Amino acid sequence: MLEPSEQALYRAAYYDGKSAVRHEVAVHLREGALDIVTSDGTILDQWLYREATFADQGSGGIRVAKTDSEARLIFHDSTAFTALRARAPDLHTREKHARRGMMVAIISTVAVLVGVYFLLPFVTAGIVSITPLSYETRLGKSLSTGVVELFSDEDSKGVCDNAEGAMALSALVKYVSQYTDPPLTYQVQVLDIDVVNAMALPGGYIYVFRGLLEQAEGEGELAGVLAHEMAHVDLRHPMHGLVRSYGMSMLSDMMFGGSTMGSMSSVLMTTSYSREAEEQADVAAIDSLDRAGLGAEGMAKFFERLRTAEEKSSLGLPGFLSTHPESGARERRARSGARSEARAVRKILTTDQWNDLRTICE
Amino acid sequence: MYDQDFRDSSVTLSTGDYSIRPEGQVLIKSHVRLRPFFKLYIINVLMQLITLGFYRFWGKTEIRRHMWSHVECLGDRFEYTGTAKDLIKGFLIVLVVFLLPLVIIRRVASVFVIVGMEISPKLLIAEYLINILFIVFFFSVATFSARRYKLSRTNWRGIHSAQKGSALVYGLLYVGCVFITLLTVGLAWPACSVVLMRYKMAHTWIGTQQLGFEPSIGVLYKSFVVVWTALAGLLFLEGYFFQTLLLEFYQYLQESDLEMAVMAFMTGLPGLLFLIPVVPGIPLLLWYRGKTLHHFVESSSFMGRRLSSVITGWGYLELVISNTIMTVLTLGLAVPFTMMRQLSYVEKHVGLSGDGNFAELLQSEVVKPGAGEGLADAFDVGAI
Repeated sequence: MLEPSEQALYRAAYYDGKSAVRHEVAVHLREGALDIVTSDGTILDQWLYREATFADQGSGGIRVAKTDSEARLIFHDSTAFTALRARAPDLHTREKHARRGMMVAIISTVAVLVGVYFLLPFVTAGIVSITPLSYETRLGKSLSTGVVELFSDEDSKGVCDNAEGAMALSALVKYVSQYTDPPLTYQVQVLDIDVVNAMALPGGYIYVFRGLLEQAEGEGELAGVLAHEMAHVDLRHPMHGLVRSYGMSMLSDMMFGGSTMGSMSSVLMTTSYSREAEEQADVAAIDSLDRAGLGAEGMAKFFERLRTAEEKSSLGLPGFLSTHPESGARERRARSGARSEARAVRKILTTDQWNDLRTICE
Repeated sequence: MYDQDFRDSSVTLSTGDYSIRPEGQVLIKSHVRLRPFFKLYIINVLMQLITLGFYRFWGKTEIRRHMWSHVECLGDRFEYTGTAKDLIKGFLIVLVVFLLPLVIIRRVASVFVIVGMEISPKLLIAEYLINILFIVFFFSVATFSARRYKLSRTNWRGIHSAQKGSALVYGLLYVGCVFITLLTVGLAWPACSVVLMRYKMAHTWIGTQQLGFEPSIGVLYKSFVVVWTALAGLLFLEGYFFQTLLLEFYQYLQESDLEMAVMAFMTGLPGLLFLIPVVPGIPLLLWYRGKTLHHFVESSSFMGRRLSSVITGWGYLELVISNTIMTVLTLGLAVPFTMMRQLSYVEKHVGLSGDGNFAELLQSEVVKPGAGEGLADAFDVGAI
């Protein structure tokens, strides 16, 4: 394979891996193997070329190791190393080692994230399905107390419950929930917060914020929002969310030691799951509204106003950063999904009752 | 390309006065140069950001390999033979047998708290104490096993080192030491630190040879008495200051001026929490640590050669404080430089005297651990 002229002698230091004695040697690159020769011609060792691996390259020279042993050759000039490298197939440089490490690290990170992304919903669903409803009720009760406390201060009285308003609310809830399928009783309450929003907690707790009540133009819009939150309860979404965020923060703590990037990636994942849940809730809400003979027009109107408000505020968060689907898309779905569009939308509350409900916080 | 790295020009580092040289020849000589080392460090930081920290196993390995191969001991460079694979294995083992059960237990417990299960205060205090014990124990176990891994992956002249002894025994010794030290208001610490250090050092082997370690507790107590008295004085001052602050607070309170009372208390807080205890306290402890290091180095021997030291309390104090300030001010960017300064400090303050024939040093028969530093990684003590 190699011409005799290419067979060369190079100076090196040799440690046999058995004692700490330093041998000044000549390395004879022969065909198929290298000889380690002392000045008096004794051959100390022979290495096959495939046994030679790169150890390190420091201030003392380039260190070459014999695979699976502590024996080392140290070359002081790069010509010797280059000549050896031309023959030894596994003699990579430090740069190649480092690049391979980087690739493996990046690929494994991506693989772990993708794996978690696809497996987490299944694991979450499994845990939620074995969680008893009695447990969820207790959990929801304690969480809802926390939420009410969080929002009660000097300017806000927490839960709004004047008698007439509460009666109107329960009438509306009763009507909207005719065709829903709740695993738990709905506990719908109005919170004294000037924000256009509503939320569902584990245990069937649904909170409508005062801001939404004041903005809503007619009971149909409020019914739409209620149906949406009820759908979340029916599908046990709040419980899913809780289990998921627990699992995710656990994983992120363990894998990445609670790094910022770790929590950022879990936020991104959460938003994606939550958009999916919102879409499911929209579909279920449209169905139950339809069956109750209410139609989804109110819901569509609500999304329409949400969209114009979003356009005005022009925050313009891209879809993947938002926890909710784009309002325009939700509006279109509500309009097209309802089968009873032609049917006259039923009135549930009298004008007086509707006014009572809107002033429930006064 | 390769020859470029062989130049022995290292960045000049000034870390104090070096007119006093240690006895004998230098133990280690650092050839680490700032530019390539800094580059390696920056790549490590950036890659960790990209991989959410997962690159740390590779980064640590690369940095160690670079450092080891640029530090000379008696004409030969050290070699680091550890791999990222070892560290990942260690991490996975700890993840499955330690972290996962721990995290699950903690999470389940916190769910019970949310649901409002009755938990007696006694149980909470017990849990708190057990937690502290647990952390102290596993922290020391982690440092010991990390040392075992690092030594097993450190070669010199083709001979690897080893940490014998049991990490669990060391952990128990450590917990015991913490207890005795607390019971004796700190007075037992020098004796305890000797016991702990001896367990580590006397179980350290290079090849077939054991490290010698014969410290004297009396020497340590000479400097410890100074520190202990000063700390006691600080504690007294702290108590006096706290009392004055409280009196002032109550005086305002009696005049029913709540705002002024709180104000007076708040203005005293920096003094109470920082100026009196931290500003003199930390330098005192660092000074004592320097003194201890000096004595521990002087008490060590290997194959008939003795280590010598000119480490001083003040010199060590200066090194640590300046390194910390640099690290904080540069948000960590100065870390490679501070590591070089540490190496340089050892180079200039630790010597080797006497003669022993290293030709008799044979390969270690201790089996190397297959995985490493998982626990240390979990506790975040697995620094370079």
